[in-house]
Amino acid sequence: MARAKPVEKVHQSYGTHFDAMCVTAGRFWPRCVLPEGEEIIFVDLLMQDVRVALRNLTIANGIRRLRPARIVALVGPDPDWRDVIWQYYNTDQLAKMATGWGAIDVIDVAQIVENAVAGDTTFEVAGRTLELPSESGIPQREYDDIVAATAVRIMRVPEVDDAVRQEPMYERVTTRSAQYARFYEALFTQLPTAAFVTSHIDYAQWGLAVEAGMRLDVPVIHVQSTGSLKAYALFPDMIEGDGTYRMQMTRLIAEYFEECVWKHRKELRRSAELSTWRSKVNLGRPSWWRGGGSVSQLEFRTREERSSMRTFACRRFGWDPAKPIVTVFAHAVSDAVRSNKEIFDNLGDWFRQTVAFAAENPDVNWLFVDHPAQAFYDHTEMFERLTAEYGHLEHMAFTPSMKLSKNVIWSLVDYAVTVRGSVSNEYPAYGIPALQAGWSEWSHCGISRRADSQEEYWACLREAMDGLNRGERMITDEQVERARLWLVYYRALSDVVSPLVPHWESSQAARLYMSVNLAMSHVEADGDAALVATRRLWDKHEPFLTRADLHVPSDELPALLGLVSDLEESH
Amino acid sequence: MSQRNPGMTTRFDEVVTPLTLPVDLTGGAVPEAMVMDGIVRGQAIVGRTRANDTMLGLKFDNAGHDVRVDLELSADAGTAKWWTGRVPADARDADLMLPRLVVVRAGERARLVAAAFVTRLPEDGQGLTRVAMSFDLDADELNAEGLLMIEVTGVSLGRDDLLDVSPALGLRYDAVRISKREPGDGAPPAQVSGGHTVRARTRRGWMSIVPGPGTTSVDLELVDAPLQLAKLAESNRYGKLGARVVRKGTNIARTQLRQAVTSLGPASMRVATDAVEVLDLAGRPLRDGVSVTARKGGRLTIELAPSITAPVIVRLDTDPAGRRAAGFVGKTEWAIVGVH
Repeated sequence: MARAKPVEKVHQSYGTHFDAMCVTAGRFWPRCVLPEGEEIIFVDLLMQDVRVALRNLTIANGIRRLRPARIVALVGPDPDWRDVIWQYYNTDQLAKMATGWGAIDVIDVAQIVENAVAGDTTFEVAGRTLELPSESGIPQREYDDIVAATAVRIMRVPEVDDAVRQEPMYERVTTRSAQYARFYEALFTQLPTAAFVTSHIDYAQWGLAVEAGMRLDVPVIHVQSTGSLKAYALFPDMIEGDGTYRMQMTRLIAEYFEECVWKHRKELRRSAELSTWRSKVNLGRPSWWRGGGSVSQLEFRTREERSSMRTFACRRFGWDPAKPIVTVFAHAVSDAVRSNKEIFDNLGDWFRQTVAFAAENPDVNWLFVDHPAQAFYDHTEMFERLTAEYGHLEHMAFTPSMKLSKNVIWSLVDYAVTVRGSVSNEYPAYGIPALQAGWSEWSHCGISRRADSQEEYWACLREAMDGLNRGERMITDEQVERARLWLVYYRALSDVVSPLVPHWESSQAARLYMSVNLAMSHVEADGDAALVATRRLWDKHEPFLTRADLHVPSDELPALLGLVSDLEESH
Repeated sequence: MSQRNPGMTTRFDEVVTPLTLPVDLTGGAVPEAMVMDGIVRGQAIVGRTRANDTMLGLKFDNAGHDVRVDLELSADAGTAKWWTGRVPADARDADLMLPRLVVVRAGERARLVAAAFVTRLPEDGQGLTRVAMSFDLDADELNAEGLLMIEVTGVSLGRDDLLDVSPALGLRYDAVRISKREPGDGAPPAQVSGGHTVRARTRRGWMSIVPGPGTTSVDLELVDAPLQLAKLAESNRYGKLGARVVRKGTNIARTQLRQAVTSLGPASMRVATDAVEVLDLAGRPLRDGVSVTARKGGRLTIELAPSITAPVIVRLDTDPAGRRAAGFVGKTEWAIVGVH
């Protein structure tokens, strides 16, 4: 998913604290898990961030407490990722870490793929020689989608067109993708695989593994790069139909949300309010949300206060504050395209068509907000070109996200439009309706309006314009309540706190390594929340890690989660 | 429309009791200063701007009264530091002694209420460069349920004799004072150069005029420009005084110097009226309703007809013909000797 923080600003270091942590891990983990068996857990270490590696390896060891499996770590990212998208991938240090966390083998995927391109047909894993199949069993359409998503991301373009197909980089992507498909097919068919633990599920070097895992009955754990410890799990028996991993998760999350969150809404109401307040003041935000301190805080509270602010905010665009404003939030256009259901050809197509629609519909004002990290996802400057083409229209305005404070944006938005951006769960929590032109983790949880076809999307926009001009709010009380519950679900119920995995904001340097070292040195493992939650997920085939088993009668929830809602009422 | 929809409100929002008259806000870390947009909250000052577009939103109950608002802004050594750290790299070598034009809007209708230049000069040293503005808001421009918004934004006119990049960035909001206006109270008098009245001088040849009721006239008198301290140590007619400033380096000595220089009085000369440009806030020349009269003794009077109600800015020639012959050492400025 898109990261708002430019990668240049990230500083990761290793050094003696890192080495000490790895040594401690080598003493800690072997005694915490079952004896090694034949099965293998493949752990993705293809991302440069050590926090990602820590999360993946910890979950893998959590599984090893249930299954006598061995860890094989995958290092060596695709050269285009290493050189174009990332800046500081360090194979040696990540391999050292994997060994500390118990990996019996560390394999260099980029090298294997390069050898395969050169004609090799075998490779070594955990003392076994595997043979690359002549081709993988992946359906052609899914393969094409993954390759296209990889190409646009690497090349930082909105879509694959004829010009893109002529580029040498595109050819490299397609050539390597074919080998990734063969490689993962070989791994999962020729070795007994207990699970695949990964930080990413899109693009060739991960997406083809996830597809193979789903097709070949391998549980796939998708660890999230945010919060304390968040992870989604897709077990073979949970798959319905032929949707992608994200499509399956959308359904599973919605079912869980209904059964284990919405059902407990009375008990969770206070918690939801608190998470909503914390989100407003920019506390507990997901790692990819825009930062920037006070510029990302929402300081007003009531409609009257918003209205006072709105007059000034509208004046900056020359707009009448009484006229409704539909705000369209651009995506990082090459980010995980078509990984979940999208109703347009790609994210660029959606944005361009929406801009063209807006140009023809001056009954409302339209504000187009660019993604804060767009420069890292689009070198074609699509947003700037659309600004030049349509910016002269009085009812349309284009702005980079960080140019406006959260106060200003929130005073303007009467209706938020996105494909899968988190604005579609955030805005409804504050009584502002949102429309999604595609699916997301929360798109089926009754929070936003969702269009499943282009016809439905245009109809929703027309309905929104009419409704707003009639003074309707276009959102129900239940949607607001569900949105607030989503915040507590996402930030608390499905975020597991363990000293073995310090929070994402704990740096990528000495502070993190010292904390993890301390946890492994001084804290006993039994009962650790990360390990308990992993076992619950595995035993019950839950779709994600949770802080507690939420399949309980609502009256048990306060004691289970240590809520204060029940006690507050009696005091 | 649903009444239960909580909007932005949560049960954990702080309950804020609105400020009541009179208001004397000199710190920003208070809940009543609810919105500080583009401003970093201060303890001993209201805040410092981290952007060029800034808004202060006060929770304030005017109890139905018309009010007068006094706003104090200033620049100091920190202004340059904050500005340099936040503008694009290619703008950082700008001359930070150039005047910064800021405009102020306030009230429920976002009405333009003031404009001023904030101009640091070398003689200000580590001290403050203050501007103060007063404006009135009618009761119907206030909503006790909402916020009293005061917006300060920097204006770029694309001129090389003004600071053109983010001019409001780094300024201090020092204080906001609000007092009750009685029905008989008149509108605020005309204000020149950010709250100064007489005895102030233009800085780098710029001043602003916020017209008062009726006709506004501003009398100006040619004086020496403030001299750099280094110059003062040299042998010239201010040598003795200047040497004392350099030696003591105190604000009192600087003030004495300024007063001495200003009080010297202009030489006998007449300045051409085209030495004066009166512009609107978009930098366009204003001619209707504007008259400029040149008098003997290096004096000028600028008159704005009652039809001009919005703030204007004035550019004055600091290098007028005949300056040397009249005995001026360096460039000139203009002392504001009367505002009517």
